[in-house]
Amino acid sequence: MMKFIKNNMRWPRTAVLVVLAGMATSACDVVNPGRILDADLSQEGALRVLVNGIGGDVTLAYRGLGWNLEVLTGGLTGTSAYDSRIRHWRGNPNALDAEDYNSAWAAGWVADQGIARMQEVLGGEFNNSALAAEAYVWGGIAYRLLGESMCQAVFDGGAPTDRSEYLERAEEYFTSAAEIASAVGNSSLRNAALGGRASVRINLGDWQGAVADAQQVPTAYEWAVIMHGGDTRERNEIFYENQRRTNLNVRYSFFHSYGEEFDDPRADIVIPTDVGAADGSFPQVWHTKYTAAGDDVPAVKGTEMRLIEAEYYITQTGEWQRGLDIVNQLRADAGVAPWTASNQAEAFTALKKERAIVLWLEHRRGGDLYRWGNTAAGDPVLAKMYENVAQSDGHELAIPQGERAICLPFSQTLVSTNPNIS
Amino acid sequence: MKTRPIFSSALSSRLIPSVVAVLLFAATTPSLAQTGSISGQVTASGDLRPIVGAQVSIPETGLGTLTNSQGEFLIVNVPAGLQRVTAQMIGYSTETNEVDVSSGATVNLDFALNQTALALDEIVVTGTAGAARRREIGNSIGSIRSETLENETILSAQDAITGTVPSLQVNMNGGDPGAGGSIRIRGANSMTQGNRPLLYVDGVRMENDLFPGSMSNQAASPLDDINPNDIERIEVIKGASATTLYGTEASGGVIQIFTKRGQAGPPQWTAEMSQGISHVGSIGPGGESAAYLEKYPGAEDLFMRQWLQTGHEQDYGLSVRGGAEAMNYFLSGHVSDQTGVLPQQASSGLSLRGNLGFNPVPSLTVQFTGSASQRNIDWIPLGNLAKGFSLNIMRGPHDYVADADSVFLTEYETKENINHFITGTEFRFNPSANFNAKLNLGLDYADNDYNRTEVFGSLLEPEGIRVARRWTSQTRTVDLQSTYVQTIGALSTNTSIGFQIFQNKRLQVQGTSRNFAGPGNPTLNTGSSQTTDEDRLEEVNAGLFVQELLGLADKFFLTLGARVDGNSAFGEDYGLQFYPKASLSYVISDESFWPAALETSRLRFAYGESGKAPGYFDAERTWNPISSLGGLPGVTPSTRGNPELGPERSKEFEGGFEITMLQNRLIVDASYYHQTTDNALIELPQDPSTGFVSSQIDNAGSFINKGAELAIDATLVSTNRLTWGVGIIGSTMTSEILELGATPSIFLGGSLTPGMFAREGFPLPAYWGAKLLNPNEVAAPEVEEQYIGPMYPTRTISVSSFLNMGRLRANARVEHQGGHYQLSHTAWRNAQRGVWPPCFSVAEQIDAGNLSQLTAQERFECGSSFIADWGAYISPMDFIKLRSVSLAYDVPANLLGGRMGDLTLSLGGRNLWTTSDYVGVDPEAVDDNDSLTRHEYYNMPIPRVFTFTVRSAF
Repeated sequence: MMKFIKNNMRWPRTAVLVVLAGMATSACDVVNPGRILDADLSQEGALRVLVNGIGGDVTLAYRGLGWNLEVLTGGLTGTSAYDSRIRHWRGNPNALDAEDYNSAWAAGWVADQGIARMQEVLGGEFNNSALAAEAYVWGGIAYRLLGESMCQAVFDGGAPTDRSEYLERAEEYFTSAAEIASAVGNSSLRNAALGGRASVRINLGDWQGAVADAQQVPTAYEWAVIMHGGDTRERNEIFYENQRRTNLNVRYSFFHSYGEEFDDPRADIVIPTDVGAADGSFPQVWHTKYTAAGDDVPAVKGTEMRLIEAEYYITQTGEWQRGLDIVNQLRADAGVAPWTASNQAEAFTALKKERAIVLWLEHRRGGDLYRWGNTAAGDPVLAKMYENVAQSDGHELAIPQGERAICLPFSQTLVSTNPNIS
Repeated sequence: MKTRPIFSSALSSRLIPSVVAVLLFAATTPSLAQTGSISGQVTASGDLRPIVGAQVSIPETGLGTLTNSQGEFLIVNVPAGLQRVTAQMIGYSTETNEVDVSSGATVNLDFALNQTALALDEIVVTGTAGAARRREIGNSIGSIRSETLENETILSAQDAITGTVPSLQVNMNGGDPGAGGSIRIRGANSMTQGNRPLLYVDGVRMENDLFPGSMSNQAASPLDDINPNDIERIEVIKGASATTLYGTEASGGVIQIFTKRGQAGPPQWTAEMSQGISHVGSIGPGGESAAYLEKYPGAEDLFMRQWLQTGHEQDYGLSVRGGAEAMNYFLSGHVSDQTGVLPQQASSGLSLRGNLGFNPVPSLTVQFTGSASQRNIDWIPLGNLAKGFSLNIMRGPHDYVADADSVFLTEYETKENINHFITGTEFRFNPSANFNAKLNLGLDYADNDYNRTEVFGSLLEPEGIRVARRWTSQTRTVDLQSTYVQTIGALSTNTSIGFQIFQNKRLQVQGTSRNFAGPGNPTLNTGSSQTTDEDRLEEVNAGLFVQELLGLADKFFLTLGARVDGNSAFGEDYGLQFYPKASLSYVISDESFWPAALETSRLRFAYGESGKAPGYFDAERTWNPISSLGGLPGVTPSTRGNPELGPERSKEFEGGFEITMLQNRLIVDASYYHQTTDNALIELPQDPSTGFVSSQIDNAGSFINKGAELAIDATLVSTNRLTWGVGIIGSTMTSEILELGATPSIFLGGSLTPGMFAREGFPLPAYWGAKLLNPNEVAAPEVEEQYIGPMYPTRTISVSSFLNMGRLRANARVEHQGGHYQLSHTAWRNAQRGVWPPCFSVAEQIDAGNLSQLTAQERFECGSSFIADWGAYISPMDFIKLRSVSLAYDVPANLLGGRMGDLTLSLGGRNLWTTSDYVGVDPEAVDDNDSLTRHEYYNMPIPRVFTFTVRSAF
């Protein structure tokens, strides 16, 4: 063989091997389009899409965590696989482990990294950039969602800490947003920042700071998490699963009976005659809060600011009648009959109901219930949910106790991937 | 022995630009010596039936041809003098005879070949550099021969490989017309990179993944674009010990299909017409109770009986093969049409093939193969789909649309159009008996046009939805091999080098449109809300290999080889890959000490390595472009990236033996294999607080697969009038995950698909579920999680039998798969809703408010309102299926008056009978197409098919 090669193929062989080696090396050098390399985002022209992405991940977090929160806190009832209570209350470790659920933590990280990248790219211009203020607002909303919902906090793969650190991070971001928005004269961003900070401060116990912020936000103001009906990732799941796939139902919730009793446009319901729930049961009760898959979900709004003020008077200063008046002014604005109360406790109950109505399907109940102690005795929405559970003969559901009752756990994925969590 | 100059000096100078030029233009001067011809017939010894397509050649001259439909051959321009002529046909012993050729004369030479399943001199080309005789190869090779393809009821190319080779596991995933199946060889050896073997057609690599999925939760298979009537034979090599020369991507095995070629002689036409019916007798356990119908008056049948219909299948084919001295051709056309067992299910197809071969000069053979096929599939929504037809019917009153199930037929339309072209040209250069080279250039192009519409005003999407997707795949093959053979006394050497490039480009463009302006026949433009998605992916794999095959006395063979591979998906910090191989083959029956009773016996051992590359973007940290803030451009984290990412590497040892006894009537082929996959690419879940929600691929795992394979062919009766044989194919397979990196337990499902895990110390993948601790207690179920079993079969057995009685031939094949488990969502989710017939009595108790009086077992299995546990519905999938039955009759020519050539009538059946204790609708029905994990979710069972075929050769 070697003789043959030597005699016949010495330099052609070399040439062929060189050609082949060159072909092999160059052929494997492939760049595929579509994805964006990390380094490509560190330029000023990419910051707009970076901030849009931060907001987009907040949308995803709202979408994924939102419906679970509503089902677990009495805003909606779930049908079949959408009944998070069945899996979560029974202790299934994978109950809340879908990618959308995990996106809540990711949204916080994306905001952190995005803000840090913007500081690096913009340098001294950062504090005069409306984009930076917007990034801070989205970051604040992301961390408020985590702080209001989760039992513990964890940052960037670190060790677990108290959930209040989420709220403190949110407060910090809203503060930065407010400062930059003021500096650039963007009143909408400033209102979003102040309103967001007010909503965080009530859960940090800073009532005076909260009220000071809230008073600066007009009642008609609203900053929303943006949804888009044409994109599954941004779809308003509360609409879609209630009025299209019918896996989420208002039936048997507090809002079912409230909707039948009151003609409140903020919490109206419709009971179609020809559509059942996904499991074939009737009735399927629709909400009218969102009537399209692209309807945005309010995140900061002036009406909540008024309720913060009302709660401050009812629970902090003892001026419960003053607080009740604020509540009833909101109801009057909505054309709904006022709540009545003869003492502070009744005024507090009225406030709880009003917060539940005003913030219904906005995924904010976690913070309220944690702040109020999350007991059915003191909360009409929870009371109705537990009553429903007790009446559902098949469920055999024990009302959860301990942390599982008042906040959400780390996902199984987070527990299994973070070595700092036992 | 006559030889010719290997290279002239002029030829050497032309080698410089490229090897391609060498092979195309390196012509040597043909011999001008005086010549004659050789003619004759090749028949099977025993019943003396003509053997069609046998290769008759004169190795020392490079001349050869194939026999025609009468088994006849003619070789012209044979140099005068004594010539050694060899006749070969797969499935038959090779015979060589000498004949003296006179100038200007034609000499007759007939061959009678013995039928055998162990033809050691059979030429094999898959898995070895160049062509090699089976006796020289140290690994097992599965061969599916033309007899099998002609005699069994084969409706698709997938059918051709089902149950025919040990450890080649094929499952039909669904009974929908056009649905492709799952193919695995020796189990799953990759957790993330797919386990489908590589597919080759006539040396051209073709798309081996299923096409993108449909609204039926099934997907068509590119393999089924090949007309089974065009297939001459199939070779299957199974693991890393055999696939080393295919390098990265080949650890799941290789299946190579060889299509029919032309032959010297007048045109031989074959016309075929087939008509058939398909049906599903019943679905589910049945037993809807009177109480159920009383509770839901007028309720539809839970298991779709009022919708099931008899499907119709029809196929028409025409082919011609022929040739002359220096060229040959095979042309075929085939049309088919099929309706399903449910309304609106349909699939129709057209395929054309042209295989042309010619010899521009005696030392160069050019073989062109080309096929074009088109399929149109009408799907209906089935499977895991809220808008699914079967889901909503089978859930009875507890569904999404109450009694309006027909909307899924009237308001939905899903169509798929597939165009598939596979073309290749092989240049085979044989300048001398010692040296040969081969260049294969190929292109596989598949185009899949899919669209679905939910009409304006539909019940669940009143604004309407339109989805249109265009998916294309191009795979280019450049395969260059050369071999030099030398014999020195008893020692032979066979040295090969080769170079291969495979390039795959995939394009997917998809648009979704919502909110139609009004009724009508929509396009994407119709909706006011539109989203798009585009993916363009390219992967290149290039490698060099060298192989040395040493033979001693034609009975002892040692093969050493290696491949060096590069792949575009390797990380930046990862170099080329080196895959070694070694094998030993010992034809021990050629030794004088070997007992004569063990007629032909061979021992073989092989070791080899191959791999699988990571995905396109796995090595890099990337962000995904997204629509955000109501349609504005944004980015979100995609892959964390790992620059050190490389291929997972499979190492396999295989040993076995082959023995024939009783005058070739009993043939035993046994193998044992042990396969280890190191640096396995694992999808490691990411801590979501670090921003990356999607899993990151990492070389972190290690698995083993091991098992035994046995193939027995027994000819029980062999006379001139009757031949009766039985074949048994069996395999065992055990897998174990040795290591999963930092995450010893990885959940493979989702909140809707529980119980599926990869866990160290257990098979890949496997089911876990709840074990009931207090079954007889009147109380709520107390459960603990336990291991249930693997998802893939641990044993397969296929038993076939043929009976040839002159003009009458009968064949049957029964297949068993067992040892595996599957979750039937159909059963579980119906039980949760109180509409699973075995649970009706318990559901009635619950409805009556007597839940507290039920035992834990009753609640565990049948507790409605989501008490029933999935663990109760993960059940053994062991099954036995009558895969194929056929009865064929060759009509005597005198009855036809000689006007119709050779006419064969045949009755066939496929999947006619199934027995299984599986709780769901069918032990082969699965959702999610071809993913690693398997579960059934309101999928359609596999229908029975009966066919009647008329075939005429003239």
